Amino acid sequence: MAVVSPPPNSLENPFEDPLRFERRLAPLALVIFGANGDLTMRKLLPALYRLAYERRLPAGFAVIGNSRTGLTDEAFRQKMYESVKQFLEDSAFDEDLWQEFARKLYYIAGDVNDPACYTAIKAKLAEVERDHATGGNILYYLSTQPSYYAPVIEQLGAAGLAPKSATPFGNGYRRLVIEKPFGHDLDTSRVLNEVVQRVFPEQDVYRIDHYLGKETVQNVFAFRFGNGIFEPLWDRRYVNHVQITAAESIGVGGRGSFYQETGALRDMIQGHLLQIMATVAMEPSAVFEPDAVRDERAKLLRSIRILKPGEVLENAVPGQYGAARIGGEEIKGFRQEDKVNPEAQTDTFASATFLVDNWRWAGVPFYIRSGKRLPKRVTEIAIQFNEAPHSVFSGEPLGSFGGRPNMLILRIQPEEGISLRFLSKQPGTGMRLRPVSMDFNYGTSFGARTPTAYETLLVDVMAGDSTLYTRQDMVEASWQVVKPIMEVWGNTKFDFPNYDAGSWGPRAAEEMLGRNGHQWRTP
Amino acid sequence: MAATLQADKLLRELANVWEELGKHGVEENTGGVLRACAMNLLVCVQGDVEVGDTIADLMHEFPSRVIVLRVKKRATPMLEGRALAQCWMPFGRRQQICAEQIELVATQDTLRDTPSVIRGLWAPELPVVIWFRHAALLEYPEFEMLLPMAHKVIVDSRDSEDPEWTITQLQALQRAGHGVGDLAWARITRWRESVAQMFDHPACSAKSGAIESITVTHTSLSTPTTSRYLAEWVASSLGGNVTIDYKSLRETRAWEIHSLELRGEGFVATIVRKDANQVEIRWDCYTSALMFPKLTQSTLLLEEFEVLDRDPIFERVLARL
Repeated sequence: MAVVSPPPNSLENPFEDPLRFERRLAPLALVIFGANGDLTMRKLLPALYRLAYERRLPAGFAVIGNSRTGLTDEAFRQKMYESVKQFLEDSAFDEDLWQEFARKLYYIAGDVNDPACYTAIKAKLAEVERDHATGGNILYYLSTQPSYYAPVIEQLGAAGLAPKSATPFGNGYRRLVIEKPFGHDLDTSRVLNEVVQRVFPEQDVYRIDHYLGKETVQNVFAFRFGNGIFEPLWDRRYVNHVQITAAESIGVGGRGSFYQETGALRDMIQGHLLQIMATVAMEPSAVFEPDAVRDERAKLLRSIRILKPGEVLENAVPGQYGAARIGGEEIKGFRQEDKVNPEAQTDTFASATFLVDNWRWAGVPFYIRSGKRLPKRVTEIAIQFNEAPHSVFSGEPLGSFGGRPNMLILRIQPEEGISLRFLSKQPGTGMRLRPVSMDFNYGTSFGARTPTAYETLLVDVMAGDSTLYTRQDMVEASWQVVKPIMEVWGNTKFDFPNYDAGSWGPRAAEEMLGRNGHQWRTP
Repeated sequence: MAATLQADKLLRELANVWEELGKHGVEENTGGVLRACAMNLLVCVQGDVEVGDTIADLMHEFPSRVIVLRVKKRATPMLEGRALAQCWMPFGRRQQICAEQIELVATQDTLRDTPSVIRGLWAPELPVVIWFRHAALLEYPEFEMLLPMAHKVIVDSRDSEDPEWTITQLQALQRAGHGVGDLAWARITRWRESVAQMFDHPACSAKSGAIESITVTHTSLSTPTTSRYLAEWVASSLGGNVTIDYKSLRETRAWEIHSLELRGEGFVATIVRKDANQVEIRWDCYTSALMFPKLTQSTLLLEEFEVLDRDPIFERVLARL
């Protein structure tokens, strides 16, 4: 087994200043499989460049990109230069910094199924360790198509590049980052995990969910557990229901063929929103440490009531967008998109009602919805509180907010922040009440730029902090939750499309809440 | 009749400012304004020196109730105040963000009347920071009444008329138990971080015990406080006996500290400015370049605002000067 190099130890470095310095990272080599793909160009390299700009990267650092495409180091660097310039978010681009950063980028062309590819990678790792003092630490990032995950992991093991390899290569840590999806369903997720665990111990596996890396999702922890006033209200006695919405205004674009195999339920609800739900609903951990936090998240996910087959259609509604005219533009329906089967039964919209069987949340519905071609891009969590037990203001109109005026909205994107809605007296004679909003805007209270989710997550994995990463039990628990829905939907022929592009989804999704006397909030 | 100033009156004026802004927002249908306040900041300024741009930059990251106290040299006593708001529209948003500002103008004769007004102007339950834009104002005893209320007192010894005197004042404040900050210290954070990063590497760290001398080369003729802070920090972090040497490059450059060299038996490590944006770190056969961002008064202040608690490392080095 490889010896793990200790990260920089503030006790050993006499020059450490935790009050003023950013957390520093141990040197490492980052091997990106699928380096010629979209994720690397749009997200990973811009995030790494930004980290270099902020002096967050360790001095000992190098990137080895791999893909099948034949590229030299120079050609790869040029390609990444163009990508970073194009996709860098809210940040200046410095040519001098790029020159320094680019000299640490290398490329190995090769087929991930070919052992010779890993021999070449091994040689390059030895070279960068010598030339860039990467300290023997290696981070493997699977940015490939999911179908390549297992072959890459197996080949890493066979080549001695994994911690549990029979003859490990070198010293230092070996960490593995896997992008979503982790399998296509519960069974394939378990199969993939078996492949992973043969060569990587769980502590070295980082399953990325970039939603958990968003500042505002992390802020849910700070909000809930850093303040004493909200937790006493955070249960079934005071919360009427919770709505979690992740809406996109765009369609599938050129990714139709990929998306029709996936759908909103897998892509968003299983992939991200159940993790957000867990963050909102979990018990506080005793300490803010990775496994303590993830234990509570996993416990919450396991507490979600699994729908019986007969309950699915009443409690889970799929949708597929049809053509519409939006703002003067003719928008295609999903079935008319490129490379999409005109008979596709893919859910571009998914909504579900979940119940949590524990003392805190018994009887409180959690409504989750996500979809493409909705009116706007927004991700938010809305916590609707119960009405006051007795209204002393009988006879005075409370308007359309009726008896449940109090709502707490946690806005994830855009306009990140928190709003609390409550009733206030309208100025003037009489006691007329109207709702007002108390607002905290993340970006305005804490400066102009927050790190992107990938910046945060890359720093965390380099630091060995898995708090924001998904553990296998969390993955399996979330697959368990959606499994009956997938099975029933898979065996049902829906009358698609059932919502117009630009609308808030199918009528049946409204009716699902209506049966409980609730309605979807319009963000 | 002697000029008077009342905190209540200024606060009413501030309330009117918010009401007008709010009405304007409703009329223009822009969703009103967002009143943001995370801190109290007292800025002590001599004369008419402009601090508006710095304050505007600061408010984007630390929206505060800012009280600007101008001390002017005039024959006729003067004591005036007014309330205003600093607003900006973040890109892509419809709602303005506004932070509040109160300007007080006093002469030396009326300065004694300002602490009692300022005490009534603090926004409650928020930290209080006092920035002496002109460190010379520290010599006025009138400010002693305000210092106990401050979580932190910030000066810039490098830009003061008498850096030695400013350091002495800072040391006295620190001994008296006040939280203190010096923008000259914040100026060297990236240098310090570079040193720390160098010694993150085990092979370099193993040689830290062998370091015998520290040489700081600066571009000015005399040794600036930044050089002294850097050298004393390295020396105090290493412990043991190390000699400190200061050299002048005697060349005008766009930066102040040109290089730092650490030397010992069989070991030399240097951090040298390549240009206005970068330094190069060298030790053994290892070389690396690091970005050094451009520093402005507001970026330095923001760093100090991030450290509102006591800063033991800074205080240890300050005591050595």
